[in-house]
Amino acid sequence: MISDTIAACATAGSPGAISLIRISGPEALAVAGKIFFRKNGETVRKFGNFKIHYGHLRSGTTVIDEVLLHVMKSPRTFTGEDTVEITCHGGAICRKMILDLLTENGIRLAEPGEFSRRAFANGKIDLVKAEAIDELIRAGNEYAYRTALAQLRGALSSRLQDLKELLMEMTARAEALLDFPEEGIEEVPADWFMERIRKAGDDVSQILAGAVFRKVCTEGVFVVIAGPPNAGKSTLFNFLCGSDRAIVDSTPGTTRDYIECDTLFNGLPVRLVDTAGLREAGESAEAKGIGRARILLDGADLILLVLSSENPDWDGFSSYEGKQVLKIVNKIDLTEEASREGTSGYRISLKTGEGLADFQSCLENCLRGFFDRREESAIMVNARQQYELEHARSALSSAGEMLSQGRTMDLVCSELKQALFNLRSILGEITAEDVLDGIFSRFCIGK
Amino acid sequence: MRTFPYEVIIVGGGHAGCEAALAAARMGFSTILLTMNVDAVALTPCNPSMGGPGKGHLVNEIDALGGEIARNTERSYIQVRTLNQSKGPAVQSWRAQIDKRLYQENMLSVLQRQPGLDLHQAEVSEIMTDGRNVLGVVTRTGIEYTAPAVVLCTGTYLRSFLVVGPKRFAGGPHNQPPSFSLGLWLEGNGFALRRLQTATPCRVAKDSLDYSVFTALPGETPHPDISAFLRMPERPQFPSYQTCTSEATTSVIRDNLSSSPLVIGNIVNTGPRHCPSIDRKVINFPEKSRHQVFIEPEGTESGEMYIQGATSATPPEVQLAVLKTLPGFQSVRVTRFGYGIEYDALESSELTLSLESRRLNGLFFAGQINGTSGYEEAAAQGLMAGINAALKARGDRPFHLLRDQAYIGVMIDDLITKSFSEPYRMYTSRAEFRLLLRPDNATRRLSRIGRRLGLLSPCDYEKIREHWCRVLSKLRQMKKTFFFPDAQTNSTMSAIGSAPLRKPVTGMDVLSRPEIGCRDFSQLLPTWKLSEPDFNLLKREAVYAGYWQRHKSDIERFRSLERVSIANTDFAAIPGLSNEARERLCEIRPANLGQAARLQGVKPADITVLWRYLKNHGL
Repeated sequence: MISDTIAACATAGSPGAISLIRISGPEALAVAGKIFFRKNGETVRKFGNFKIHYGHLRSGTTVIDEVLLHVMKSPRTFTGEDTVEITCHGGAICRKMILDLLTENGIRLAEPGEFSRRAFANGKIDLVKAEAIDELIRAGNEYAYRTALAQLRGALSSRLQDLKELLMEMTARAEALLDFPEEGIEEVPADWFMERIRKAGDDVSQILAGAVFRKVCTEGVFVVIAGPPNAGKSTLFNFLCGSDRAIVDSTPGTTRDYIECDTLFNGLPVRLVDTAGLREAGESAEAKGIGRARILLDGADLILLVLSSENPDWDGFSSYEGKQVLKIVNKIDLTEEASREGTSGYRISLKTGEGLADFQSCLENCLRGFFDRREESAIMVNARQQYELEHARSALSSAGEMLSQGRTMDLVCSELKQALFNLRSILGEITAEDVLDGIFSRFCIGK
Repeated sequence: MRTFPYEVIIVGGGHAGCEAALAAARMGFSTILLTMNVDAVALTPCNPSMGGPGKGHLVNEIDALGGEIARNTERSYIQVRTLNQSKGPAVQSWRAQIDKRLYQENMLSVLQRQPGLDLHQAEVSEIMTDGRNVLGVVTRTGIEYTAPAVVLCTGTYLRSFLVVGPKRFAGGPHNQPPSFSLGLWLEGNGFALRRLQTATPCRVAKDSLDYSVFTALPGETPHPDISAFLRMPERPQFPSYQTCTSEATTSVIRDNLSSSPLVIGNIVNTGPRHCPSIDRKVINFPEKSRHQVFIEPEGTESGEMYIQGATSATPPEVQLAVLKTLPGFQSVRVTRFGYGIEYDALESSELTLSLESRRLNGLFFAGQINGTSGYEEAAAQGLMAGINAALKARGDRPFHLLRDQAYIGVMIDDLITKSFSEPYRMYTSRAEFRLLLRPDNATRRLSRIGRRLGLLSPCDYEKIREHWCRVLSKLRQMKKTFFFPDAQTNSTMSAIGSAPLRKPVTGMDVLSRPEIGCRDFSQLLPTWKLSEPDFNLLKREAVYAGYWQRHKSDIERFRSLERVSIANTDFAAIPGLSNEARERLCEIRPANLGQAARLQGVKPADITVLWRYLKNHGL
């Protein structure tokens, strides 16, 4: 239990109908008893646990606000400490007066993330769950939200725990062999270790795939619009953004620098980018723009290749094979019906709207592919977790390599311990201070 | 009444006391070793062996610093083997069976020949103090010895009780008398004490066993190196023997569990888990019908054998009945029955990293009184306490080894930061930097320190220095020697069964390949004349070189916390610490942030709070 008592407003700052002020720590109930009065002016000698109380907050004899008081006693609370939550009227003045009243009574204002930090320190949540809280609050779409919620409920923690158990079993067996050579402990065949090292390595890789999932969930699917100049890329960009962001002109090479837009496409988060038309450019600014376009294409999750129906066989694009590409043939209003046959891709006219419905439903299916995952692989892995997991994976792979090379067990064991260290770091069982500072300072006040 | 003035007083002549006394005397201080019985100096009242993984690592480090235990084992061994040969140099260790009598005689003769060291037979009953500093000791007969530094190495003798079945009576190990007055004095002066327990098995008449049914475990010839400084000519070795308990053993034990002190409860339950009694094994592993038993000679002239693995403190008739069920033990004659022993040990919160008392300036503790088990663990503490007592007498700063320097450092740090509910034994897995703290590089890590402290003679040190100069220069050459993927090299490689080279590599890369042996290497590089031991040494260095690089950042992280001193911090005044952490910090008072982080009950969050507090207060 952490010794002092903290308070903060847990609801957003703008004036709303009500605000929630949260108090946590050993003095929470005592202070509530001092400042809270029933409507008839009586004080409350003993608050019922998990009860809501209606009354006034008073500073001396002055009534500050009419409030509801939620009382939750340790240890069955979020922080693990005695917690009192005050539902008061919204508005900056009201909040400030109540917080002033609390600090006058010896309560300290909480730092960002301090409630979550206490929950972690008191063993109520592990670090992965603490991070899920942050993701949950920040979730910008349903997918991110659902995954964060699952992780708060232990979806990732339990997989990491299983992995940790596996590694602990291996190191325990290995250490027993090394430290008790004469106790008649059965030799463990290299295959036993090999099998488990492989399994652990596969698990880590599977979880690591969650890093990409987190990226598309939190940043959106990175969709790059590319193609030859004057094919209508910027028109498509504007159409998909639903606004006139990009300048559209009939002059080829109008778009030079790339233009970005974060948008939801039928509820799916997308980071859409319009790029300069790809051609051998003479002019240097345009050439730079084309260079940037190529870099963006390298990082794209999905490429929308926009061609003009006047030149549907343009093939300046062979180098992006392996990426998911949707080919769109625009300006079908300019060509004869007969010439349309035999060419692939979605034939549309952004001008007349012809073919757009088909294209849109295909795009939606494509995007959905990034999110609709089987339950077990829908995991969000953040940068910190990814870093540790990558180290664990490399330690496991060198353990496997050493084992197959016939290296001695002391070396193999050192790699296994390294992987175990990485996993325990993810869960917050071993933690450097700066890591904790970094994690909890991202939280908002009151959480 | 007479008073004897000394600079350092050592109380107790066991393995800790001997090292402490020799260290202080070798550093040039007039030293007295007080023991209750001169004939019991360096007694090995339990198993007749030294070394093994963890313990052997400690012995090699004591040796490298200039201690005596390895040399005395070399003088007294009757069998030596290498354990963990195939598990890698970091965990490999020798294990020696010693002649118990010879071990004592040899150690006694070293003590008696040591200039500056006196040996008196006396029982210390009290410590003289001025309230803050130690002034000396008083014996039961009223003689006073004065010194600014006193080391208590009282082993398992303090207020010890022997337990055999339902019987419990005062007594020390090996039927030596216990010491009550000193235990009372410590308790009376506020020292936090706890009770620990250990036990020893039967000794049986050598000629009462049928050796034809045992597996013989012979020693190795030539015998593995024990000390870096002393190697005696080969001499005949005596085998140990191995057998297994039978179903009958288990059922006899089970039928008589009611007479086991564990069940009766007339002994504390804080015994070593690493060395369980046979009763405990049957209770804890009911499904296992066979347990290993080793039969070890107690000496070349001794008519007794030590029965390792069958420790029991049940009544004598039960012990005999159990023994008779072992294969080859049908007509066994017991010479000494096993017993349990319960004794006073100090709480870890009483000690500093120098093994000095937090209560009394100049009072040091070493060995089993600090809650360890084993001759080797005791000797290592004895050496460190002896060194620090001498430095204290001279008014110098204490000498510490850290966890990244030596197993000795790991052990002492564990002793003062963790609380154990059983006697502490060294394991290789306790060392975070195990791959770096190898027995084969102990002299490289520590001998320079041993010389500086005056423990190692110039001649001994020179030998070590030359050895490492030679090895390191060979290593440097090896790094500069290139092997090219030409037809000749690769045909030799494939003949050896090693993968052919694809690009030029250094000698280090070739050396580190596990399949390449000494002869193979000389085939590849005929111009180099490498002896087998030199090759093995170079090979180890080549294999572990990469780990040195990798561990460097770990060590840096470790050291960065070790460097933050919190010695004079008032933990009670720091807001935000958890109550459990605050209690532990106030009790143990760690010297630095690293130690604080290793305390049980102190969580990473508490370290953050501490860290911030220190930063905000400009500390």
